Amino acid sequence: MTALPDVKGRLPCGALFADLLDQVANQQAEPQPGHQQSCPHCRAALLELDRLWAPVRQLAAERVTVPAGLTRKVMDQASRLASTTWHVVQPTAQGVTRVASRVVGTIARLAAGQVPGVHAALGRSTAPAAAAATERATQAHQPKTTAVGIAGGTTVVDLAIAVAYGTSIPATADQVRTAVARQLHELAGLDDVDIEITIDDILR
Amino acid sequence: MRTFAELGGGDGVPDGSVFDSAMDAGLDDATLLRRAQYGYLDAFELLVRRHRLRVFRLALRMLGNRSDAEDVAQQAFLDAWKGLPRFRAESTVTTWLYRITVNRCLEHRRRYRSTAELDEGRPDAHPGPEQALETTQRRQALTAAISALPDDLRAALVLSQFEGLSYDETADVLGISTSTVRGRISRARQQLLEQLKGWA
Repeated sequence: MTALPDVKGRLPCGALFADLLDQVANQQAEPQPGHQQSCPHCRAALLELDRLWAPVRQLAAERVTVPAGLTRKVMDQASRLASTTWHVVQPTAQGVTRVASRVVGTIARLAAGQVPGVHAALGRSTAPAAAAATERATQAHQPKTTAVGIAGGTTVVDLAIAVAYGTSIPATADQVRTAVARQLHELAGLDDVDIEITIDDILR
Repeated sequence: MRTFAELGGGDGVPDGSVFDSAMDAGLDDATLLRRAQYGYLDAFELLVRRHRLRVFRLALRMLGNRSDAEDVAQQAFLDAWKGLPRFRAESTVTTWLYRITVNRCLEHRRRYRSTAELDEGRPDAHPGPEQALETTQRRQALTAAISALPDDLRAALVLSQFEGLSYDETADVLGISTSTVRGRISRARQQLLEQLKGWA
């Protein structure tokens, strides 16, 4: 093992030790080619630094896995803050079924995505009067604690859609409305649904 | 169709999500962020999925243990959600999230410094061959040494050495000049090297 000088020092050839360390850590080539190859001090120091720095390289190359459930925890808290506690309530004799508005939005998005020409879609669901309120609450990021159930009222689904270039927008919008209404009826039992469509992107 | 992993945020955690690659393709960060600002929660969820590995890994290297890193990653994403109205398109979403995460990490350290426990890289209860044990101990010591660096040096070092950011990008995240970043990274490396020398 070569004796290394102090990290703030210089090699006998005059090279700054800290520069060699940066060079090794950045895995760079010699800044001014020629000297290091023929300088025994530099070559020895570089070899030693490379060996010492190996654990850092190994740690950097290590594969990190994200804890399962991180996304869910974040989204649960975010939806609470966004006051998307809107539920669609379907009263029956045996009890009440509530569907989170986020679920309604997701069903709508996935249904829209199956229509040819639709590249990507995002969905959200709000009650008519609540749409503006939700937006305000989100913008002002004030938690809104009242959960409002909508019994027998109209559900509004907002869809933001990117279409493929060459697609007829009115025809696609019609197909999206049909597909979304059918899926919401079949999967969530929702019938009285307003589907607002915004085409906000076009992709090749 | 591209998959999430190919888009740069996949972390291999299967969670049976209904978010399929088709819905993600073609939407860039800026578009998703704009939609999240309009209250589209699922646009925000796509951003979280895309960036969770970066945010968690940064917190892990800054704090040195997984449970603190998970708390901080969660807090950072909630800070981002609350801060959506204030996001201006001057920086990229990645830079913005890194900045929020660094701040959260520093805040966490200030609050819990006394009880800081370094469990990341805790040696295996059933150690294998000699070589493996040595590697584990060295890794644990390295993680501890990084966690013990002064805040300003550590943030610069982790962003560049472990997240692979350039000096300019690191400067952008930390809101300081490139030459300051260069100096901090250099000093952080020198301090680390002193430790590494001791184990050789």
